[in-house]
Amino acid sequence: MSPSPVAHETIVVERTYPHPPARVFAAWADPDSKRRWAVCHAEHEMDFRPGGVERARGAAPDGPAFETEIRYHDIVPGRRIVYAYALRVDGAASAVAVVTAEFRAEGAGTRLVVTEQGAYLDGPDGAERLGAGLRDALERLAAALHAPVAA
Amino acid sequence: MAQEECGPVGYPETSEEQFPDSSGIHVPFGGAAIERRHGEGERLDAGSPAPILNNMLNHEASLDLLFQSLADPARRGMVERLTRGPASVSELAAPLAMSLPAAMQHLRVLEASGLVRTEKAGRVRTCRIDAEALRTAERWIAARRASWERSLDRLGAFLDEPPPSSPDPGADR
Repeated sequence: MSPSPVAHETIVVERTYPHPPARVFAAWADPDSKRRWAVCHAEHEMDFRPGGVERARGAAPDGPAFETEIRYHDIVPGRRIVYAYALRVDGAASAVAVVTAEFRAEGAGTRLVVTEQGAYLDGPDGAERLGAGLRDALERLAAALHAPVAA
Repeated sequence: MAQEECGPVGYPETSEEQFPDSSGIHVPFGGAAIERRHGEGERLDAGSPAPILNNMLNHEASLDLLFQSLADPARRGMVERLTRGPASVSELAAPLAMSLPAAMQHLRVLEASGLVRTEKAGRVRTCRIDAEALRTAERWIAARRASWERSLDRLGAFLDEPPPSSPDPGADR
């Protein structure tokens, strides 16, 4: 049986915050701060240093169980963090990525650029989950077009 | 601050979470594509768009074909049936009380849009959902992007909170 398909992708997400880079960086570096924005419904432990590991485990309400593991590789205080990231959902690897967070001074604020380069995997139930999501989308589309789905 | 959609997942199962940037019509090919089509401006990030979205945005003709293919109730019925698993042309035609040639005509439109793939083995033509943008792996990508968007929104809110130890000169005590 062939393994589930994998897609490779680079995701880039950016924000400008009206706070200096050191402050924004601190929100990534301090466990209590990070828990406030990056982690929820989860147990969380964090060792923020090159070679250090950060783990979270939990489940969103009505959602699947997940585990994340981060291993820090490059930390330039106030400027850059590079880490390896793995996400497991219901025990199966779902995404494995290298993440770079860059903190660029912009005026009195910070331009944060997050780049996630990853391998994204179909889960074992990919087809069923796909079908359920698509059915739901079709119903919404039909409603938007004011026409019933035949049969 | 409400902790509505927490966690790293933005799991592909829930329609709302799949494409949170879309504005009402949740079509599997992504809200960004629809909004671009209606000229509502760039919904993608300032960084270069993910290649798969870029690919779709560069092929508006194929988007038109997709919408055309889904605008017909019989075709939507066929696609809905195929979400439950592959089917032969006659299996698709039967519930619609449709002749095989008519069904094939609809399937050709669906195939042209990339939503459905058919193959013939012997005398039976089997149809299945097969559009790269619908594959779970690609939808994980959209979910991961959505998860980052929410996390960075929460980071912004967290950064904007006043530090707990400093007194607020405007507070009544």
